[in-house]
Amino acid sequence: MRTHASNIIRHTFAIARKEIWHIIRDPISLFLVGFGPVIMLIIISYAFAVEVRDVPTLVLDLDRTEASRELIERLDATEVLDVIGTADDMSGVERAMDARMARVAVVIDRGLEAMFPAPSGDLLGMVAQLAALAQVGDRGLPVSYIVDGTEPISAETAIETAIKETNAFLVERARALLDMLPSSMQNLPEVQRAREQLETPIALEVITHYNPEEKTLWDLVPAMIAIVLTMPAMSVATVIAKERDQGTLEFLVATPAARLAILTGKMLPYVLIGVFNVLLMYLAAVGVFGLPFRGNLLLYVALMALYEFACLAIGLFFSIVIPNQEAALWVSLMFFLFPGFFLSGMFFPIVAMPLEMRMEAMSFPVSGGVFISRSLFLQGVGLDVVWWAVGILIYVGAIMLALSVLFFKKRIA
Amino acid sequence: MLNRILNIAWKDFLHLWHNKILLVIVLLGGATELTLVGMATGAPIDDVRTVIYDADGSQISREMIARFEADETFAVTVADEPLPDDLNEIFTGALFGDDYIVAIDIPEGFGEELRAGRRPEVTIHLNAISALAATTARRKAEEILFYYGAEVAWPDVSRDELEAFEPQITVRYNEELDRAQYTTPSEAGFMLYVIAIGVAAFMLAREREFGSFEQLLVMPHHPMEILIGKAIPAVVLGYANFLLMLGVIHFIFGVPIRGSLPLLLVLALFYVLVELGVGFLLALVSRTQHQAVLLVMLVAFVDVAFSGYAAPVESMPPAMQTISLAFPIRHFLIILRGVLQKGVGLEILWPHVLALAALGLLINGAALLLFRRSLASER
Repeated sequence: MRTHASNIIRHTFAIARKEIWHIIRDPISLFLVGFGPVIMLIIISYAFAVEVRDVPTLVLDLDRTEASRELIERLDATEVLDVIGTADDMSGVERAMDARMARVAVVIDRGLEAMFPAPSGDLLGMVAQLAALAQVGDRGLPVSYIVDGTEPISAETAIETAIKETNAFLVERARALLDMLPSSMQNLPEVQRAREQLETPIALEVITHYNPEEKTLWDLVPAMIAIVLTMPAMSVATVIAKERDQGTLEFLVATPAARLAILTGKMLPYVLIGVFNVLLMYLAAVGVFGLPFRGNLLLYVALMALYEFACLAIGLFFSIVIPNQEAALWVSLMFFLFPGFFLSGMFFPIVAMPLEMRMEAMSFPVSGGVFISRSLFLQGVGLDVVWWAVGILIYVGAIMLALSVLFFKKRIA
Repeated sequence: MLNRILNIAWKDFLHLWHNKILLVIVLLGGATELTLVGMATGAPIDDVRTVIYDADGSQISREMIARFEADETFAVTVADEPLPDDLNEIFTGALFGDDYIVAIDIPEGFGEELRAGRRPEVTIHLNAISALAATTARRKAEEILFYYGAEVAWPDVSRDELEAFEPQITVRYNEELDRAQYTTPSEAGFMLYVIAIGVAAFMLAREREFGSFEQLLVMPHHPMEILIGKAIPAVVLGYANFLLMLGVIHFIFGVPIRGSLPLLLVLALFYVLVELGVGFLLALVSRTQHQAVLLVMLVAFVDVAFSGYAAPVESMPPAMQTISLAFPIRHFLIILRGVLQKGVGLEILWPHVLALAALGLLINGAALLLFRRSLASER
């Protein structure tokens, strides 16, 4: 019995050594499998987590006053909006929006400056006017925005910024006028009331945990690490399928090496490549993207290796049950890569959703990896929190490996 | 000559026909992925798990909690005990437990102070493990607190008056800010391209790997005939996918076709021809199918990065914006959205059509050159 076990281990390493030679002899594949994931991580993170900024903004200023200029400067000073020029009339705005030169247009109608009372003259009347600033009634503000909605996420951010800045502009200007009143008037109830209405009714304190600036990058990068780690799994699927296409696999089975030894031997090098990739990507996440890593690095690498093993076992299974290389390729592409993107949060925040929705997502192997990666990166938790995902990965990996061994035997026989 | 070209194409179609799985995937893959993406992104972000601790317990604070409960964005649990000092306890995830995304703390005396106009303080803790959910929840919570606070603190100011104080916002082209209207055209442009270059690259790489490419070369075919013959299946499959996807975009996800449909169909065909060169190039650099698939994936992702697929190109660093002009998919997505949502035509899109033409010449020229070269070396 003992010799049997040691035989399996010996064969496993022999096969692994052969597989490593195989990978090294093909430098293009070696490069793509070894460095492809980290390259993809960097590219995708840059592409999808671009914080919304410098949205090209066109101005149509019909007021042409100090107030309107002040508002425009204020908008331009924000990170989100970037004033690229002025239009002479509405048709100029239309053309710029159609041609995608501008994605936001600010239209300032006549009457913005006139909303604010002149500082001199009837002081109490001015206070009344300021207090009523919030009650402009049907006329509305003489400021309006036209937003290109084709890219909804950036449009929402642009809208939020536009509303916040416009309100802040009005409030600050009104407050400055109130400050100019003589000190004898400051305690008048009318003045206090006017001041009160310039504040929000509730003082809101928002504390954002784990990712204080609400950067998409921070939840995207850890998720992407798990997603791109499926690349080696797809490689395994193609490698095995290819050997079957070419008939070299039968030759292998005919040798005394146990089937289990063959399969684990084939997987081993890819697990190692996966660990190498995890370390590279960890460096990229921390070094290039400035993410915090709050968990235990050793535990992280170990769990990601386990995750890689589960993915490889699934890839193996596909390559054994699906009769040809091309089909195995497409199936693993559809099974690994694409579902992964839904979990990454770049489309949709599945982590925030109710249980039923999460359960569905959790049935894909990528979800466990995404969950573990994110929890360790951002929340710094350990096994006490992620144990259930670890359990699923072990279970899936073992079942898939067992099924692969089983089907492998049947097909050959 | 036409006959010989069709023969080569026919051979590849036969290959597909014998591989039913492959055929189904290549034919329906695009539309399926598109539907999934559309469904995932089209759903509004709601039922975000929220816990509220109400230390006040007044009628005003209870009414405010009711506002949160009535809002679709939040799935509210009212806590019996104060929020823990260590929020990790409620913010880190267990599969079957409750990990909250939002925790709201209402202080004692909240109702009384609000009615008196003394600006009581409310604290919102956000679990930003998902930035998108946190941002959405924060915006919504700010809105609820502002309007409810104003209602209690300033009973003489109506909601209409408060709203009139905000600038008027008009959203164009995608009036509801529906995310699916953004992601589905992106995905269509992307899948059209992935299928076309995938089919071209895998088929050519397969022949090279198994040595049947040499057989093809010794046959009395002109190199151009071989290339065109190989191109036909990729174009047909890519284009069939595009038509299917266009149907899904329009009929299922309700993206309007405001511009000229014939123009779009012509330009899409033109675009497939441009991208085809990429598929050939990849096949010619790789010696095995394994290499080809890895290359296709890598190139596809680089394209996604620069295309404006997921994030507006304008927000990228200037250098990336310039580089992005060299990617055909960037121009095609502008054309696609322009025709579908904006209803514009060639009068506005011509620079992008020109860019596509130039890139097409460049890419296909390079592919032809490389093909000649590999031909010379293999003969």
